[in-house]
Amino acid sequence: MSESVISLMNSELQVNTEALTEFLKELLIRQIDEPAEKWLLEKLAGLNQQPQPRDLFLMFSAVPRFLGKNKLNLTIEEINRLKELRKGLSLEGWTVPQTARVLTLCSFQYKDASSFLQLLDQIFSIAEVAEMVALYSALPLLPYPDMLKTRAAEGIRTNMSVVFDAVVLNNPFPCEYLDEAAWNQMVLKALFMERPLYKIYGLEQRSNEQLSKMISNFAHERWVAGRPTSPEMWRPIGKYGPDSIYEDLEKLAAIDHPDQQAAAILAAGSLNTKEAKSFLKSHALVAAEVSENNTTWDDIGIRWGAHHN
Amino acid sequence: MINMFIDPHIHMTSRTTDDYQAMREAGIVAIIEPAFWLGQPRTTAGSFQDYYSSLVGWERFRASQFGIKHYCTIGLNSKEANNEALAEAVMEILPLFACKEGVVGIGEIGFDDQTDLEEKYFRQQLELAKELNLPVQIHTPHRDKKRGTARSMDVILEHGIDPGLVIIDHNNEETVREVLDRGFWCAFTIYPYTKMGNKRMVSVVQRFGSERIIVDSSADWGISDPLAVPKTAGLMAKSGIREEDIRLTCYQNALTAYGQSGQMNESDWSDDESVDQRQLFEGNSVLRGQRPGTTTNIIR
Ligand SMILES: [Zn+2]
Repeated sequence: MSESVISLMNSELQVNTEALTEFLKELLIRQIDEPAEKWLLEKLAGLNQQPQPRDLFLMFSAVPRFLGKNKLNLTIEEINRLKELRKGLSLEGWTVPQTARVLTLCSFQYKDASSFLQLLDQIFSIAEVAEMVALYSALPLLPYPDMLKTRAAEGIRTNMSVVFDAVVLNNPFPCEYLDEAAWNQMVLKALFMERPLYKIYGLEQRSNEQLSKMISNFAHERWVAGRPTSPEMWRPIGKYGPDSIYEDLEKLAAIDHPDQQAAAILAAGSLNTKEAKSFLKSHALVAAEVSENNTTWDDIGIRWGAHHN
Repeated sequence: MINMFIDPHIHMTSRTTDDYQAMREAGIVAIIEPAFWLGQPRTTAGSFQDYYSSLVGWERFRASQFGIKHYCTIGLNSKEANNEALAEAVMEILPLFACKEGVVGIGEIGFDDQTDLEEKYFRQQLELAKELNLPVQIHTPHRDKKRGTARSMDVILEHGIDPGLVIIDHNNEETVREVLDRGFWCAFTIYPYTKMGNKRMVSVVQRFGSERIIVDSSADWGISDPLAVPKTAGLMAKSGIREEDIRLTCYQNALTAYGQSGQMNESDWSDDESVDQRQLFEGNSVLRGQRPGTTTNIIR
């Protein structure tokens, strides 16, 4: 399938594969030395000569030997440019070899959907930890995204937190492609694994009734066990509150912690029901403080992460 | 007192998280897990592929959660080399894993029963190591050890491999002299109860010094001690062995030998960020809600 057909398939989500590939390449070249650049460009050019899958596997593994393991740096301009190119994608925490591996996957000319999937499955089946991170972080940039849903769900099933993060955090793919059940499992597992929810793209957008119930139940389990809960956990409920929610919010407002109380206020604000309004009225002092400080869910998440991770 | 150790031969796949915790507390900062057999023969190449995958995947991650850097060697062990059809299929997938990050050599390979098939795949893997310029970790047979060890070294030298790139393991007082004289690294596995014990190891170092001598535990699914390296170091100290000799045999020599792969550097673990327990344990799924201390209260 030609490049133009692929970008047509992605057009709904406006992924410009070519421009993104170019962007990643420039990013990399800016921060690697000359021999590394030479190696990379040669290998990328070689991808056009119909390489054997084995050559691709070996190149994929060899990347850090030639490019090192440094963290990737982005300028403000580059961050803004990326926002235009791929909404929801952030390269925060990416490394140089990770970027090069993603670039490799995006540059390979796949014959058709089934050969693409077969090759990808093979690379996954022999991947080490850093390679797995690169593979999953490539999801929002790869062709045939509809066929990658099961792969994303598989990544969410992992118990390796670094791999889980690659699928779930700063990655728009789950929000765009996971069905409701898979999305809910993902959010709940992120809570279980104490991942920073504010780095999940599309939390408010994908809120739903089932998830709200699951979150409320999860809070009850934690409270019974005498374990603290993250104030962030109430963010995904959006406008969906199960009956138990007002009791939960009262409990939250009673915790002697400003961000737990702020979370109760923000959650009530998003519920937008009669009960929520009267809750806000009875907690007017805290509500006023939240609005005065302009406290957002992101602020709460960042502060919680800084203290608990 | 030396407080950083490397165990360059340990099969963590068979060990528990209690072991990991005790190892970290005892000062083990890095380990090498050789690919070996699992106690019963595998019947498909897929089982090997998943095993190699777990060595560079899950086990590496598991170790990281305890602040331990996990490396491995990749190879077809001598026992299973005796199944020719299977061995052929495994040889196909070996190169894909041998080039991966954190793979510090081809191993553990060599002889078990000293059959023709064992020799065939031993030689093929030596050629692979040569092609990739990787260190080789040699398993010497437990039966007919002296002859088997000498024969292993003959084969290696026939392939024109630099003995400085080869670690001969499971040595004893009978084999050490020849291994050292021929220029190889000479590793000793400390076995509880029988075979090479801590006391014998102390006398070996007293007699042969510390040059190219390496101590390991080879702990696996059998009766073995994952703390063999730090315990032996402790006994050496008590027995008046110089600190520098302890550092070489229980840390530095393994690093120098396997570091030749380019895949193992002291900065991998001395770098603060990489052993920050809070970061490592955060939200992990191995600890299931337990909170460990930070490095400062783990290293004593
Ligand atoms: Zn072994």
